[in-house]
Amino acid sequence: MAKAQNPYYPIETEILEVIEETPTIKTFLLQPQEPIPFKAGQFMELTVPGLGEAPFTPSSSPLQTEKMEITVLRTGTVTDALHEMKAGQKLGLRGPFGKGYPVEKLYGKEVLVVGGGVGLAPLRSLIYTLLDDIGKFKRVSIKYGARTPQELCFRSEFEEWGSKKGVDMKVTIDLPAPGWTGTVGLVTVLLEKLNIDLKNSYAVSCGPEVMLKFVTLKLLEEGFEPEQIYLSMNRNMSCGVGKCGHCIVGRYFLCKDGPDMCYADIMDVPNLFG
Amino acid sequence: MKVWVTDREKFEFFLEKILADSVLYANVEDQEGQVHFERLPKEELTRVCIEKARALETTKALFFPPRTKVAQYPSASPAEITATKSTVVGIRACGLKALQILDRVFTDDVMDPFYQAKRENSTIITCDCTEPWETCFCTEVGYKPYPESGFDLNLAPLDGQILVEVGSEKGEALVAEHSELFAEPEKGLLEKMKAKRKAVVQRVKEINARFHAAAPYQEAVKKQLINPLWAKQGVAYSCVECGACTHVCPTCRCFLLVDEQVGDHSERTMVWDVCFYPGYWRMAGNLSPKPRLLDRFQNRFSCKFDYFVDNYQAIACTGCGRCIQACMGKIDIRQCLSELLAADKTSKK
Ligand SMILES: Cc1cc2nc3c(=O)[nH]c(=O)nc-3n(C[C@H](O)[C@H](O)[C@H](O)COP(=O)(O)OP(=O)(O)OC[C@H]3O[C@@H](n4cnc5c(N)ncnc54)[C@H](O)[C@@H]3O)c2cc1C
Ligand code: SF4
Ligand code: SF4
Ligand code: FES
Repeated sequence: MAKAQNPYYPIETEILEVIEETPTIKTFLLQPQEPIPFKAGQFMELTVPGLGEAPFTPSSSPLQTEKMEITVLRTGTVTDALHEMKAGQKLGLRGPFGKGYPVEKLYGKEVLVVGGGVGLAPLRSLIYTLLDDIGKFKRVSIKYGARTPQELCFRSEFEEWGSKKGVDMKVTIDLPAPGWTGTVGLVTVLLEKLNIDLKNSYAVSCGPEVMLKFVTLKLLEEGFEPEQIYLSMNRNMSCGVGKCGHCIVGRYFLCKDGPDMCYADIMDVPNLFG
Repeated sequence: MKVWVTDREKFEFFLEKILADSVLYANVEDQEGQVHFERLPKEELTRVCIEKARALETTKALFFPPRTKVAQYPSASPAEITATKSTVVGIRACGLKALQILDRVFTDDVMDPFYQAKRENSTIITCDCTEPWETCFCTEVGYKPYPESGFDLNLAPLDGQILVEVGSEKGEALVAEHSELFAEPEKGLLEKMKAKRKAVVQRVKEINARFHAAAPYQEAVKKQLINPLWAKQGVAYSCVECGACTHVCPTCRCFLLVDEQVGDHSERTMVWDVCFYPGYWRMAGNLSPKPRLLDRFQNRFSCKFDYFVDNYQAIACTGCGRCIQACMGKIDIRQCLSELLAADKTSKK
């Protein structure tokens, strides 16, 4: 039986390079044995051989098909082991899984991209997709927050993104820090008094769930409709193919129907954010 | 479909013939009168039990075992996925429904080749229920105590004879190959079978009369699961999170992929998981969307009676009653459903 027919079999993948983004976040440049085409927002199950899998959304551009970048926050068993790994070592990949972002729906609209911490990683593949075709969108506003200046991910790219025509880039950190002259406060402060055409906007957000909760509340307060808000629901996952049950939210399997969900579809789930 | 008649001796002879290239799993009765589901050697065909009702153990484990090795890596190419041919005798209507429900999960747009191989290589010989258990409630969920479709052959024991209904091309071929063992049923026999079936339906209804827990459930589950009265005073409160109910349940299918190093390679194993366990939901940083036991208890009900209905157009409970027998906290799912339905009725007044 061919490889593709066993959905649990990991494709052997070599680490080409490890990039240190912050003290706790690293980006891994990966070369799978065979190219794995994906859409922005679709995710992979990454295997540390003999240890286990964890889900990650590629942070690289979907247009780059031979290689893939995955940006990982060190936080537990699998990610600890991953952070110890070096170029030349082997991993496994399964995927891509999920629907990916509804990019075509965003054509002609103002797109608000709201990220927190390592949540900017999955959003980066969307940002590349949007910026690559910037003429198709009315405007792209990136709002990003991290705890400290040191924890800002992809900091070296902010200037380039922000200088593009049609792009507005804003960054904040949670608490004042020596040498920081920018905005201070949770990412929701960047959502105050949005100067945008509400009717023609979509917001897309990725970050810790508490952040998603407060971003959603803030956006609703600012006048967004639930239909205009997309949230990356990055819950516990195992199979990636709608069978193991772990990722269920309401009637939806996040691994199949998400992981980016339209808030209108899940807002009635009791205790949505736990 | 076509119904034939045979007797016990001929049926055993038939089994012996068709077991030439397959292994047998069948229901057997123990000394206490309890029915079990076992792998049976060909020499013990006299032990095959086609009377009474479903076995204590679920047939789920045959197609979706507690542990399945699903990958060995790295390797030049993944191993070929095969399954031993099996003949399964004694699955009841509720067990067959459960398999049809698992089919939808495991063989939807993405095929689980391990489940699929085992399903393809099995011959399913189901049976009518003759004596339901006190925990049976198939009729309340809207199912019947006799299979209607999805089997290869179905057996209905009747007055020392066995009526054999053909349910698939495979079943038809098996009968045709051994046609000397099957006869046309004499006049009136089919009517007698129908009358017996009706009596068994009646019996299951009698067993459940005191519960008032007949389907549909979806609306009540949607609205009343979060009703604090149900949550705080209802039967949910005695759950001890052991996971017994999900393990014995023929439709529960949650699993986890576990990796380990074995010598010079790695193996990935699919193991049963339980939505009651806190670890099932656990995310990085020890966060959980379902921190309270009650949240997780509710999930089992939402999954079976609400989400499944939306996603697969079927209630993922077949009324087999195994979870009632298995529960350490003496939780009776019929009581839970009945409380939900009652709460919903009250809320509409
Ligand atoms: C779609 C998706 C995309 C994601 N994208 C990214 C990304 O781009 N970058 C990023 O950094 N993160 C991302 N994440 C989060 C990432 O998957 C988690 O941080 C990662 O799974 C943590 O794994 P760990 O083994 O290091 O952490 P741990 O905290 O050790 O383990 C978390 C997992 O292991 C299980 N587990 C561990 N210990 C136990 C225990 N004692 N009992 C039971 N279960 C246990 C948990 O159930 C959970 O599945 C994404 C998540 C999802 C769902
Ligand atoms: S639940 Fe119904 S079909 Fe299942 S064993 Fe009991 S009587 Fe038979
Ligand atoms: S929930 Fe209980 S009664 Fe329903 S199918 Fe599962 S074990 Fe049987
Ligand atoms: S991760 Fe298994 S069902 Fe979604």
